[in-house]
Amino acid sequence: MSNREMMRMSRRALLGAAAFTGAGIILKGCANTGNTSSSAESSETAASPTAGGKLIATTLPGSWEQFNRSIVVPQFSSTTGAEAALVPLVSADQVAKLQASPNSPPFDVVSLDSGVFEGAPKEELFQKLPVEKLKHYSELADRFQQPDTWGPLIGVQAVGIAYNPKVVTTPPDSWEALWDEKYKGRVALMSMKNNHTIGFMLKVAEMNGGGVGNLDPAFAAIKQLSPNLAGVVANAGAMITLFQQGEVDIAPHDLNSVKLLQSKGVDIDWVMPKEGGFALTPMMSIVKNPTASVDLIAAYIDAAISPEVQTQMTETNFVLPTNKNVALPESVTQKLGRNLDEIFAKLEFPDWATINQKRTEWVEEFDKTVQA
Amino acid sequence: MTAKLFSPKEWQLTLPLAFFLHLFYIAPLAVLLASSFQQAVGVPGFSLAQYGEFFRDSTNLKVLTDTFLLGLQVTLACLFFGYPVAYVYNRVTGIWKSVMTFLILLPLLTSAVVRTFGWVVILGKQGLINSALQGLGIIPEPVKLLFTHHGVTIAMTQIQLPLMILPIVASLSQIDSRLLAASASLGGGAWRTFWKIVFPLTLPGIISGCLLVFAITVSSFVTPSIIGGGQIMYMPTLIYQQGVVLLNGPFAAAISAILLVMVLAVVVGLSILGQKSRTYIR
Amino acid sequence: MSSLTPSLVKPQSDSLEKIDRLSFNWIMWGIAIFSLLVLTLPTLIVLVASLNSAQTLRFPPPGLSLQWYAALFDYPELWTAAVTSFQTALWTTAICVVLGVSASIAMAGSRARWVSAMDALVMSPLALPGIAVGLGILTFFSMIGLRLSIITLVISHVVICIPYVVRTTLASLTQLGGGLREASTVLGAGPVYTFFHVTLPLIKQGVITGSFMAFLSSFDNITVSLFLSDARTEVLPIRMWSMIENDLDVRAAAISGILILITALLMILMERLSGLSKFLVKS
Repeated sequence: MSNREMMRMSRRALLGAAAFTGAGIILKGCANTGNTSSSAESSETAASPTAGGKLIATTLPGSWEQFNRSIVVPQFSSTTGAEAALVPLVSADQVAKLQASPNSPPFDVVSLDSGVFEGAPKEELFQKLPVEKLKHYSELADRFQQPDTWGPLIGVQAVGIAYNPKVVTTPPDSWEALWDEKYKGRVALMSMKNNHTIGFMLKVAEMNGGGVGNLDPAFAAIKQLSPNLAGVVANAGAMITLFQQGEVDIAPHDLNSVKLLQSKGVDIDWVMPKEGGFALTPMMSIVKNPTASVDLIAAYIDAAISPEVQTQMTETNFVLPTNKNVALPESVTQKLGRNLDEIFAKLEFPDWATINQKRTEWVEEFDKTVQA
Repeated sequence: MTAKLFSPKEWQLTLPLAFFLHLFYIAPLAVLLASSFQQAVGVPGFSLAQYGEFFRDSTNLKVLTDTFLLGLQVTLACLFFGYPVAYVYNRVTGIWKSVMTFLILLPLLTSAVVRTFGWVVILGKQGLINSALQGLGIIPEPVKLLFTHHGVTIAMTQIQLPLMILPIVASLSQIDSRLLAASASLGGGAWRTFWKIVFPLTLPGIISGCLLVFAITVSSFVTPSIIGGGQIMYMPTLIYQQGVVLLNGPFAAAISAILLVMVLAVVVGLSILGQKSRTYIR
Repeated sequence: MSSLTPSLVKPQSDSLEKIDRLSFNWIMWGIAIFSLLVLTLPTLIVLVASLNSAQTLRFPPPGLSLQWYAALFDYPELWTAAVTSFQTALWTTAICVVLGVSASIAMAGSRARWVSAMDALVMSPLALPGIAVGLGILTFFSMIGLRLSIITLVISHVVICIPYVVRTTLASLTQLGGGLREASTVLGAGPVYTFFHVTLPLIKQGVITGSFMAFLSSFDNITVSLFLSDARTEVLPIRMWSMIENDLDVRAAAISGILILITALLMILMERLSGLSKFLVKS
């Protein structure tokens, strides 16, 4: 009985293996024809980069997607005559997807947080920016122009304290406000996998005698925060639901998200604490082995840093420009400071290269500290 | 004659599916799991270091037990709340049956993304449950449900309930109504008829429902991570964090393998039970 | 059988029987009604919130308005995504039914050990988080040089949806036993005839239930689609996720409202045509 079954099993296995190899070959055949056609397409676009063509770009979801769709893509299309399709993905998912298929990347250009970008295996997944192909590259402020650049920073998001003005009547002036007894159970933090919280922890560490080399003071402070902590939320989307439904009143968040919600009638406002806030910087980079031509991709990135687009980004989205030819509107100067030098002096730009070496350790330590 | 010719080879009917799954599931899975035996990212060779690391850390073990517990609690809760729905569904007729079909399918029609908003409204401190309990004077202060294990259990139970109800409905509808009439005429009370006849006869449906609910619950990512937040971790959250955020593929693969083994143990156990239940029915 | 004895003790058992029956019915109906309430509550909240007059998804809404439903018509990306999702779910379900039902028949017809193994194999895609399945399949496709398209999306959805069809069909077949089919074959009917005229009508309920689950879980899948779809094959759940992520777009809730409405209309239509409940449950 069992012997016969064994025979059957092994025959099945053999059959399966044979069929498996066969199908693999067939699929490979199909795939190859697919590849040749797509490479033909790309060489076509390379021949005449300004006459049509198509590229696939990632975008951060939500308001960034709206911005890219309504401002960046039309600008790109009007200068090149080409189309751009957008894929909304959070930064980490963009890198994971590229890493899973480095030979046939699902998109041509990524737009993601530079903190996450710095932690990715850059050499394997991305290629350096052909700076000479970008008309507007020289217009970037000096601090955003690096000789070995992988791609330009698109904007600067300022992170400070978001609060509900209906409940928190006097705007908090310090990060310390989160520990105030009167906000018992009213504070929210994003989990440490979000760069918002990494920046926040860094700030807290600095206030307590630590820094990027020593985050222990921040972990000790987070332990103290637990009576005030309503929850550690998964992402920005969950955070704003809590604000909207009156579940929390105060949390670290970025100015652009807060302004967007405010414009839609949510009771939320934002202040820069006296210890200063910190900056999150989305960037764009070209992937390795893209389907679209590098010229076309460069034109897309060029559109994103052009003064027209950057002006829109600053005025409607409250993201600070990296193009130095963009004037700050009054709504921004009121909130942050008279000019970019003054604002950037108040914003810390986290040292992502160092942070990424410790990221795993920190995330695990954070999870242990906040465990319920 | 035809039966003789056909039946012994009936197993061949599994071949298309087995073939499909080997090609598009087992092969990718093998690629994924192979990396779990790496010493570290990109280091070739065979090593159990990743597994050792998982089991050495008590935090990880707590995540594993919490996940198993969540699966168990949600499955039992779904069975308890779902069975009566299926039972009543088989009793009602006409328009009520359509209405019930609609209500049962309703959770499946709301996108998981939007549904989590509904859960914040229900479970929050200003939420419906707390307002109701406070209004009735049952609790003096709001209870914390959001970002707790209980909150996740409640939300997951609601979401998985249709997956328990539907297989049981299918099972109940196949019971020969004459059996029940016979039991009643023999003086078997309602409870007795239920426990001795109806419940055992629907075991295949129950087992199917339990398998689906358990497997899906322990592998769910969206709801547990949003309702549970960062303070309670489950295996899928851990896998995402290690594999996608921290780019530690081998460790994420090892965690996936451990989760898979846990679920398969339950599946095989229940599947054997299912085959036994077949003997009972015959 | 001891169950025969109570009927001999008549006078007492009457009231006992009543209590027995009443308690049974009360408890069954009580739990069922409570469960149905719980089942509907989150959806109701979403529905009410979708009628928001405010700019963001909030509950309770400050006022009622249909503006967000109207706004849906002015959003072409959404419709493209909806069509892709629908096509994917349809193909996925069709393939799942063909592969799943035939495999279930073989599995139910055998008592051999391999059935448990096959069962475990079929169920295991459910046991892995979508991220792991999605990343694994994407890596594999990349290794064999397959580019992302609607085909890769459907393949990956079949992998994660097949368990539903096999589980429910297997349950129906298990309950059916082999007797009827044997009778049919003994009477000289061929296996194909037996399948379509005897087996399939009897297990219809299980197959339909499984198809429903497969269709809806394909239609609502985020985690696997996140890795297996690209710009050309963007699906509805991913579109909705991006809508709600930063700005609580009320339109995301309005989509749910539309889906519920369409389902309700379809069900009424089917009820009119053939009586869906009869279709769903042959009694």
